Amino acid sequence: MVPIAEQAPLGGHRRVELTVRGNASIALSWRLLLHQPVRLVMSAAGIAFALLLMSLQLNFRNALLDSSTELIRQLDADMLVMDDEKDPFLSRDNMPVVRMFQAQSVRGIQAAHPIWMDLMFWRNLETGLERPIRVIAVDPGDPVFVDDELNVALARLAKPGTALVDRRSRSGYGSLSPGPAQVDRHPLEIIGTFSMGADFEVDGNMIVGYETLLDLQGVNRADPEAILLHVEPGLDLERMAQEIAGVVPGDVRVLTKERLLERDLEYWRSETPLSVILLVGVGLGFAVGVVICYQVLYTEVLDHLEEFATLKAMGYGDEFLRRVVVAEAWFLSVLGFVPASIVALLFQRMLGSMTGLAVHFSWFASGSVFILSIGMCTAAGILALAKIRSLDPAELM
Amino acid sequence: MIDSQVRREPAIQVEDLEYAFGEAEARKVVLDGIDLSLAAGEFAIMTGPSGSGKTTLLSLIGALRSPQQGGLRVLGRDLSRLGAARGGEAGDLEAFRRRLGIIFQLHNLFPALTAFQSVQMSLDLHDLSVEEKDARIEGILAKLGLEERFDYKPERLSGGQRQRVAIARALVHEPELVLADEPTAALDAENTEIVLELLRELARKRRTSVLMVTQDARVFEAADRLVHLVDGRIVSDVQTG
Repeated sequence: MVPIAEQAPLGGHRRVELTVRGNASIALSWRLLLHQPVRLVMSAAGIAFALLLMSLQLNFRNALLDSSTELIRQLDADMLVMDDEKDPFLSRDNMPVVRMFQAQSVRGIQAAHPIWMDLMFWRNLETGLERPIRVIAVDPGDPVFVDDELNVALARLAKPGTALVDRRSRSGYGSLSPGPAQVDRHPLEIIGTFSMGADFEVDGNMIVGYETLLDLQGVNRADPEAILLHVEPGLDLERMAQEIAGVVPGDVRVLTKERLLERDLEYWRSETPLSVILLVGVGLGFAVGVVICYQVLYTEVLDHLEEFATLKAMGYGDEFLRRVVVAEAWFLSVLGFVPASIVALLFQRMLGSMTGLAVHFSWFASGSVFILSIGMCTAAGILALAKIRSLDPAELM
Repeated sequence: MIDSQVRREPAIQVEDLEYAFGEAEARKVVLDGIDLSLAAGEFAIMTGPSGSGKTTLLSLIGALRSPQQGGLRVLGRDLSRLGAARGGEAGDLEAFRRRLGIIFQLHNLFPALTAFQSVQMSLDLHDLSVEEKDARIEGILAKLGLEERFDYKPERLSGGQRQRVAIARALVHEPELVLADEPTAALDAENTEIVLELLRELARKRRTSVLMVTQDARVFEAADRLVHLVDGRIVSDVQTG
C-alpha cells in the first residue's frame, strides 16, 4: 500500500499530498521510512529474520501434528477399536482379535477390518544400510484406506512376499521402485507405491498383507493393532461408540475417527517436548522481533526528536505522533512479512523434500505469522512511544 | 477564529511573571517580576545578554512551558489553565498553539519532506480547501525566494534556504501571534529584509503581533518597540521610530 497520493504537477513541481484527512500520519511515517532506503532494507531484513524464525517453528509444529496423524486421516473408518493403552495411535499396542467379533455383534455395525503395525528394518540395497520402517499390514481386499486407488492395490498384496512402499519415504531407503527389497533380512517384492510421508518416529512406511507380516515376524498369528469399524449410515457415531464400549471388555477403547484425531493432536501438541520446544521457539522469535523492531523505531524517533517536538509546538497532538510511530511499525511489519513468507516457503519446500515431513504452506500458519508480525511491531511501537511521550517542545528553544 | 472582543485586549499580557529552573538550593530564577503587554498588530523586539531569560519568556508565551507564578494571558487565554493537565479542556493546548507561529533558531525540518511538504504540515492543521492551501504555500515560498525549491528536501537546501522554509512554515497559516527566536541569524541582508517585510505585512493586514528575540541590529528599526532584558528583568521598554 502506498498511502501517498501523487498529485498532478502544480506550477511545474510534483508534490505529495499530506493532508490530515488524507491520513497525514500514515503518509509521514511512510516518507520517513522511505527516506533512508538502506536503513529500511536492513530494518525489514531484521524483522523478516525474526518472522522467518517464527514461521519455520510454526510450520514445523504443524508438520509434527500433520505427519503424526496422517495415518489416522488415511484410514477409512467411522470408529476404531484399539488397546486401552494405545495412546498415541502410532504407539504399538495390539489387542485380542476376539474384540473385533465382539464389536461386530453390535447392531448397526456394517463392517470391521483389522490392521496390524510393526516396526522393522528396511535394507537399502544400494548402500547395505538398514533403516527402521513402519510396516502396516491389512487383510488384502479390505478397503481400509480412504484412497480408492490404494484400496484396489491392496488386493494385490494377497500374494505372499509382496509390499507397497511409501514413495514419500526419506531418500535413505534407496530405490523405492517396483522390484526386490529386503525387510528384516527377508526378501520382498515391491509391487507399487502409495503416499503417506515420514513422521517424527520413522522415516518411511510400507504396507503388506497379513500373511506376509506373519512371514516377516516368523509367527503363526498376530494380534491386530486396531479394528476399523463402519456403521450403517445415519446412526449416531458417539452413541454407537458408547454401545460398543459397553459390549467389549475394558482392555480396549472405542473412539470415533474424529475423536481419535482430536486426542492424538492434543497428545502431540501438549505431551511431546518437541511441540513445546517449537512453541517456545515461536515465542523467542517474537521476542527477538520486538527487540529488533524496537531498536529500529527507537532510532527513528531519536533521529527525528527535534522535528517531532516542532510538530507539537505547531499544534500537533501526541495522538498524531503516536499514529506516526505505530504506522511506521506496521509498515515495517508488512515489509518484513513479505520476504519472510517467501523465504519460509522456500525453506519449507527444501526441508520438506529433505525430511519427507509434511511441511507445506498453510494459510492458517501464514495468517498466524502475519498477526504475530503486526503484534510484534505494535508492541515495539508502544515501547518506542515512551520516548515520544517525554518530548518537550520547550527544549527546542 | 478570532473573537473581536478578544482582539481588543492585548495579544500578550504578562503580569509579575516569575520562572525558575531547579529546586531548593539548585533553584535558579530566570524571570523575576516580568510585566509586559503587547498589543495586536504590534512588533516588538526583545534583546538582552545570554541567560537574561528572553528565550524562557518566549517559550512561556508560546505555551511550550507552563507558567509557575504570575499572570500570563496570550490571545485571550490564561496560559496557567491551558491543557488537560492544568484543568483546561483536552485539546485546547494544541488548538492554542495552532494560533501561533513559532520560528526557532534551528529549522527542525524533516529530512524526508520537501520544502512544499514541510510548509504543508503547518497548513494541514487548519480547515482550508486544497486550492487555498496550495496557493498559500506557493505564495509564501515564492515570497521567500524559494519558488525554484518546492521539491527540494533539506539536504539540497542551503542553511539560509532551510531557515526560510521554517519561516514559511511558521507564517503560512497567518498566525495571530508570531514568536521568533533569532530568525534572521542564518539569513543575508536581502533575505532578512524579505522576512521582515513579511512580518510587517502580517502585522499590518492581519493585526498579527510579533515578538522577536534577536541580537541582530539590522532588524531593530523594523520594530515598534525594543524590550531589553537583563538577569530576568525588563530594564528598558522603548518605542522606536
